[in-house]
Amino acid sequence: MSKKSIYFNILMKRKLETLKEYLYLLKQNKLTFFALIIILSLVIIAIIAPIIAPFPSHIYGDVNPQDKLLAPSRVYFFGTDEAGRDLFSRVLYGTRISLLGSLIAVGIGLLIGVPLGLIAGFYGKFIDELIMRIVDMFLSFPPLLLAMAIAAFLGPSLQNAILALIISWWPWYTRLIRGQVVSIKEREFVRAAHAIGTPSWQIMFKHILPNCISPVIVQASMDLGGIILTLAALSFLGLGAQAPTPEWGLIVNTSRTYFLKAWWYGVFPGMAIFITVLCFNLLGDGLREVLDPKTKKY
Amino acid sequence: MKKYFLLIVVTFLLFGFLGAIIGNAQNDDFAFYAYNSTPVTDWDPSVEFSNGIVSLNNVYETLLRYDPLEDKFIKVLATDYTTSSDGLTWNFYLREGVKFHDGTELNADAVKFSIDRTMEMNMGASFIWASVDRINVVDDYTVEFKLKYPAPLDLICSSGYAAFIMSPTAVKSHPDSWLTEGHEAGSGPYKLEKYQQERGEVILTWFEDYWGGWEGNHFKKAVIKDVSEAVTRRLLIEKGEVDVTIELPYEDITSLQDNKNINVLIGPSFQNLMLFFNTEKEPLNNKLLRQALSYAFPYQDVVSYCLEGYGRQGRGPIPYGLWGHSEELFQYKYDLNKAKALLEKAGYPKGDFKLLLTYMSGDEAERKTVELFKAKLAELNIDLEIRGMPWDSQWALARDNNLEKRQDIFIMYWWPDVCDPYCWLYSNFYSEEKPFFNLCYYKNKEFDSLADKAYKESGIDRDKATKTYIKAQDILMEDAPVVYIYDKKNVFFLNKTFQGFKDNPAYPNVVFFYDTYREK
Amino acid sequence: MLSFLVRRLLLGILTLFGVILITFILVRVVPSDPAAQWVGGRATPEQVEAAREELGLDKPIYVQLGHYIRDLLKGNLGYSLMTHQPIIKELKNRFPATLELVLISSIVALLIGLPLGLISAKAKNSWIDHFSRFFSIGAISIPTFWLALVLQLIFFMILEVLPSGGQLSMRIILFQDVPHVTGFMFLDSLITGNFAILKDFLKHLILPAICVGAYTIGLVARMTRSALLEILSEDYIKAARSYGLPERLVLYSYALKNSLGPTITVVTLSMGYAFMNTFLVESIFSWPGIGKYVADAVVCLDYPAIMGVTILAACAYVLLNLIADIIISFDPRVKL
Repeated sequence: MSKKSIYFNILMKRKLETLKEYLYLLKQNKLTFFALIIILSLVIIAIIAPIIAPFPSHIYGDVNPQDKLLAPSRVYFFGTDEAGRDLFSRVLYGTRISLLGSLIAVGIGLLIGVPLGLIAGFYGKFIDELIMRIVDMFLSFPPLLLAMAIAAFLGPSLQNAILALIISWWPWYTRLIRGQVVSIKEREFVRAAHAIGTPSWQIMFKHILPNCISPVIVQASMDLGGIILTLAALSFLGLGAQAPTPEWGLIVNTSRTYFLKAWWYGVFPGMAIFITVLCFNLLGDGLREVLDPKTKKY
Repeated sequence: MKKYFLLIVVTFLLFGFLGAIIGNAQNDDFAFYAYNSTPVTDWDPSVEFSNGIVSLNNVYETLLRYDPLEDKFIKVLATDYTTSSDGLTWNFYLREGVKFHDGTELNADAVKFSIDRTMEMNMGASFIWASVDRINVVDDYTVEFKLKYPAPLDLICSSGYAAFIMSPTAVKSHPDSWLTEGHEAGSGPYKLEKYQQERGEVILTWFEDYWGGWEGNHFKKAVIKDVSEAVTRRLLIEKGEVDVTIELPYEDITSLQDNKNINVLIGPSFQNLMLFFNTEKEPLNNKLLRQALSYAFPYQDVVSYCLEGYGRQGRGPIPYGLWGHSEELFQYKYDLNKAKALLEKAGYPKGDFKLLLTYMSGDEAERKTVELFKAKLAELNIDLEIRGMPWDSQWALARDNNLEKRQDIFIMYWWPDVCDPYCWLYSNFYSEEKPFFNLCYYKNKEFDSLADKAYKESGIDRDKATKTYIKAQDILMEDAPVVYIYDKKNVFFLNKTFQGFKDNPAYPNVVFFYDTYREK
Repeated sequence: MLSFLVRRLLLGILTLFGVILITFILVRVVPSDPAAQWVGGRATPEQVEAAREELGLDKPIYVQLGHYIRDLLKGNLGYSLMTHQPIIKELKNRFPATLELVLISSIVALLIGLPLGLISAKAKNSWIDHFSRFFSIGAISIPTFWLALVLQLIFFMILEVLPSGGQLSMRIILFQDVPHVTGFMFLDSLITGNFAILKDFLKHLILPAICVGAYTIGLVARMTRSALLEILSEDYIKAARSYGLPERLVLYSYALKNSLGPTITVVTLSMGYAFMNTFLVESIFSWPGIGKYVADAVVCLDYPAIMGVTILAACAYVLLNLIADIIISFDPRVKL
């Protein structure tokens, strides 16, 4: 076996060990583990939603006016809405929309924010000032307000809402990473890498990034929940998903008019939002405990 | 130590909160109208063309008031009027002893001033006076209108918009923006006591010198408040905290009717919902196709499920109950077979095309309606994309200079500014160079001339005008540029102690508080 | 020090300009016609054109931007498309209500959240800790609008003990002299000794305050807990303990005091989030504040109003950051 492949094997084994260690620590914290399981099941639900939904045609276009506003029953687990659509199917499908939406928003936000933060922290001086000023500009807006304004101006739709969220969120990651990079930059192993002539991008991505990624991971996992909440809030105001998209926040908004007659209409999607966001927050909180060395020992 | 102190403060506050709970007080001494939107947009009576009429109609008055259900005019500021035989000269005789809120008297000068001002400012609904050439003051209590062409001036004077009479002294002695800022110069039974814009509250108080007098049982104070949440409005009327409210979900009506503390008043309104086809763009420029879609529309389903029966299928553009409406007019009925046959004749035997429909986002009724239409068209293999957009965006799209970008179908409500078929026929169907509200882009010279003829006739001979209007509508039914979905019914929810209210569809959603009283 | 201040000030102004530019561009991207909105639903084409001229929308963009900035410097935020009133006046009328709501709910939230975080940190990994962690994370996960609806349903509809919304009940507004000394209802009613109004106000305040404060409680509890945990793992705490100092002294005099820094950050952050929550809460409870104004403006697409509030909020933010930076710069450990 070549030296490279031996080295690679050792590296992989070590990575596996750390992963196992993290998992073990996670398991210690029962709450976080529980949250992780729920999240995984939500992901599965999101993927197979159209298959397991009892009334897949109700998800989007079909209407069934005879069965409007029926209470939860064995046929309609969550009851029906004012067009007679099965709420259970719609809420199930809504999982896909919320999870996908927040994944995209956080993902692209990271893709934009992290490299920018790395570059700003690493090169410093003018580039740093430039990027951070732009970041400051974006961060000067109260978070929901910027998203609201963008969604309002671009025209209410799910895509525009996600776009608005991406624009509002990436600066946070940049600032977070940049702060970390600035303190790590002066450390010895970075200086050493510099000395032996490693190209800059390699230093940034292979040496610095892995060491400052943990707060970002924590933030991102909590943001997954936060974005679902904000997306629901935007749809609630009429700025996000439009009818007949079964987005949770939109369903809660539509349910307002029928709240007194049909309590189930608003309660179930609201619970869905709550549980999802709760689990992401628990996960993030647990990850923070695991990844942050300071809080580990006590 | 500090922690315990904090604990004590928190407990104290908590008990304070709990101790502050008492039962709800009963309504007394004032009328409370929970309105579903902001009760006024502009306090200037020459400008306001929106919800503000619910407030302005209690503070200002018009020369006449129209009761469309009995088809007669109520004499308010004018006690009588005459028309010349050619319909070009109208004389109005004013009521004597009418005072404005600032103490000055109503006279012909005031009338001339008010209407001239409205016409000059050229805002809001001022176009209703388009036929007026000159207003002459004959004497203190006689006003003469000279028209450019015959027009139904009695209906115009009774309009709920832009026909208010205001005190010239008050208006002239203040800067231009005085009215808009929240002041009034009316003669109506109520004065504006306070307008809290941030709370959405219009507080009215009685005008002691009102010409109608205050004998008998009248409310001395009235409040119109913006309660935009349907749920809240329903809770308020159920708890007896408000006297009158509107726009509750149709599904709730049955249970509210069972409530002994609530009277549910159902009556006609002149608001109708129409679907406009883009007659200038493929494929809807094809008349047969439009007729086919007119047969494919699920009228009964919409009325049953979206309105819960509180409406009726539209028969032509003129709503039921208004003169000019004809029960003899042809009406499309839902018939999928006829639709299929016409589709074939039109050259689309398999359907298989897409249409874009825009509706006003946030409007539940529109949304439910178009969702039903979408489902039916799917059965004909026609893909209808329904897109909710804010009103302005929707309207801007329909007026886009690039004809290809415009939507195929536009859904919107229409309601009268003057109780006149011309209001519909002119605004929605008259040829327009640049589209405004003729959003089917219909251009038919024969129709135009019929409509104009009828308008002029209506100033002289109403019956003759009606016949001409019906002829014009016949053309519309044949060409099918529009689907007449439904005529809405007005539903008012009243506290059982709130009496005297009568719905007048000519003044949409207006509660004339002067006529109402509290019955113990 | 002075150079630091000057630099921060200049940067602040630059940021503000960027904010204005961004907001301005956003408004121009709008797919609809502000002039048409100004004149309302059924205006004639000439009226729309006249409005366009009046609003200055027919001029080139840089001229419009120039006018806007000039107006801003004069304190004129423009006119709302919906109400035709000056936006600055409308905001001034509504600001006290929102401020009051946020302040009172934040104070109560702090009073609840801080002790919660403290207990949680002290008793780490016990069932108390788990419970309070669950509670505080739950508090920040719950959709505010949902919570508001549920509370309204329970307390107004079912139990009938609290009002459905508004700041004061209609009878009080109509038949009592509502005092207006500071603009803050709580203080005004206390000052004038009008306890009926105070009671009425508190009754109306409870539900909105709970909804606005829920997120804050969770946030404060969690942040306090993590800050305290960090500090409690420090060496000097260990040293203090090994000296035999009573636990209470260790906790309060040493740990809590040193956690004040992050706690202040938490407090300001929580107020920021509380303001964010007001959009939804004020709409549902018809609280006459800025949040409802913004939510209404957004729904009606009243662009000048949205822009005005955004710019105002951004200005406030920049200013607050500047002040925070100045305060922190007094800390000798911070390198300028």
